[in-house]
Amino acid sequence: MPRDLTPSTIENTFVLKALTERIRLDSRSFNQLRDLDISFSSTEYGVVDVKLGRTRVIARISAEITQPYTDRPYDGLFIISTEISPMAAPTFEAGRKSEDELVISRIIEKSIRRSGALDTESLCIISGEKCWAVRADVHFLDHDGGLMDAACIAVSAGLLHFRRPDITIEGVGSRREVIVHPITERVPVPLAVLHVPVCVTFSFFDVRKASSAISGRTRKDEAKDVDEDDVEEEEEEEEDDSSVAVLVDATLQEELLRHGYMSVTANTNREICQIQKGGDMPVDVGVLLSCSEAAIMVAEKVTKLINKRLKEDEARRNVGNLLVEARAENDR
Amino acid sequence: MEVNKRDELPDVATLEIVVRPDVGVASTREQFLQDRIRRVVGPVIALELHPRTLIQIVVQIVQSGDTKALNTIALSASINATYMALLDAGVPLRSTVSATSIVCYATSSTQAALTTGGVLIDPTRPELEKIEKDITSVHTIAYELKGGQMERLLLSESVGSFTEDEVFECYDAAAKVCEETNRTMREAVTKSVQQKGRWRD
Repeated sequence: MPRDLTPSTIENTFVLKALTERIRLDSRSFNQLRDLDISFSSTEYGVVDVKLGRTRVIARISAEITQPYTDRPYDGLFIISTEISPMAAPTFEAGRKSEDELVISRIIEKSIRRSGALDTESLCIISGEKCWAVRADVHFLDHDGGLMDAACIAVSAGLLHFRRPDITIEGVGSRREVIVHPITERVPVPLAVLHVPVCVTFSFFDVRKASSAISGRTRKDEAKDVDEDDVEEEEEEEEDDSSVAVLVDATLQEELLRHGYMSVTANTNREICQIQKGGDMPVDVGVLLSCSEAAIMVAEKVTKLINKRLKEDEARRNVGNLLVEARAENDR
Repeated sequence: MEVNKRDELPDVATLEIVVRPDVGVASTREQFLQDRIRRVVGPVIALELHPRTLIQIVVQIVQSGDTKALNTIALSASINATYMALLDAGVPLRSTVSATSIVCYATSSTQAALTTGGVLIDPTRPELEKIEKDITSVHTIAYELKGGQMERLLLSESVGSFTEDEVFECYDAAAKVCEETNRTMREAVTKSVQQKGRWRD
């Protein structure tokens, strides 16, 4: 039975003490993302490798033809599978969903599928009979915090990179036939991606509480619990913005020690797709607004990087401009 | 790692192998791979040195080299990857392992493989797709090696129709490939150890 990671008390006080001095252990500033690296598979479409610091996620988009749901005949299917294996970290058990995993898959589901990033109506081939089922498999390879941020970026980039084979419909009425042209025969078709959601997770640290706990412990080891409780109560009354440290893109260590978190998904249209707040720490309206603003900034930066990498990949594939010239939507 | 009470063995370490597919959820195919990897790697790991612990191996297939009907490249690659991972993790092993895939096919679909057939060793996906219809038999072979020399056969997984001579031919060919793979692995490990031990200098 894998046990949860529990940071030691020394680690705990050290990290929190550093945060009260506005220092992060990896020398980043509070609102700085770790190094983000996005690379695409050279052989296949829709395979993305995202590295966010030491966190590594691979997303794989695939599509096949199936029957649509009877109550939604005009919609295609879009499934995101985010099963976390022990590959990411030994704390994740194979075949059993942990609470963290549930939160991560829900946030990704909300960020991408329910925000309508992929136009499912465009996946319809013959209404009520045939449609594309697009599947995004997310493989978490290494876990150093920010799994959902990395996964969200990976799936978004994967959807943009993926190409499905071209199809034609022949015949009329009930004798219609769908012909799938292999990608070696016809230039494959990109998906209808409406916007690029990027998820950013903010970690909150109650600095006042932390510093009082630290100083209390060092000053008087035998300090009674009652005393500490009193101190905390007093402070809660006069809480203001400066008592909260807001960190962008926490590492695993910071994630384990944080008092609360909020993940905001935004896109370059300055739209907020979802907000999820967790942990047992109340957060001010002002903080929420500034976080949303910061999330939009990050989204713009990340989208820019995704587009840059997509262009590079396109240039590498598009030898002799064949991909553009042979495209189906060109005039003949 | 700490072992689940239910799986705890008093005299040896528990070996857990998880294979995860590149697309979709784990099915019988992955179960099959898990079982075969266990059979190859199990006898090689010195499990008795770590009683009441868990050695967990997770194999994540990132890009499958097999066509839909086959399961051989994934198996040989998983075995090689598992062995390298065990080395890197510093798990005590008795000997070295390497595996290879051999695909026999008929050059003309009407004739038998032995007379006019071709053999592909560790084929790539495009190569496989080209000959997909003419494949007569597929062999996955793993050897245990000691000092770079083939020691004993650990796994011989064959599918299709073939003769006795053919399979022995495959064994000989596989032994050569495995020894070669073993050399490459050795180089890679040497390099990694040198890199990791750089702080000593």
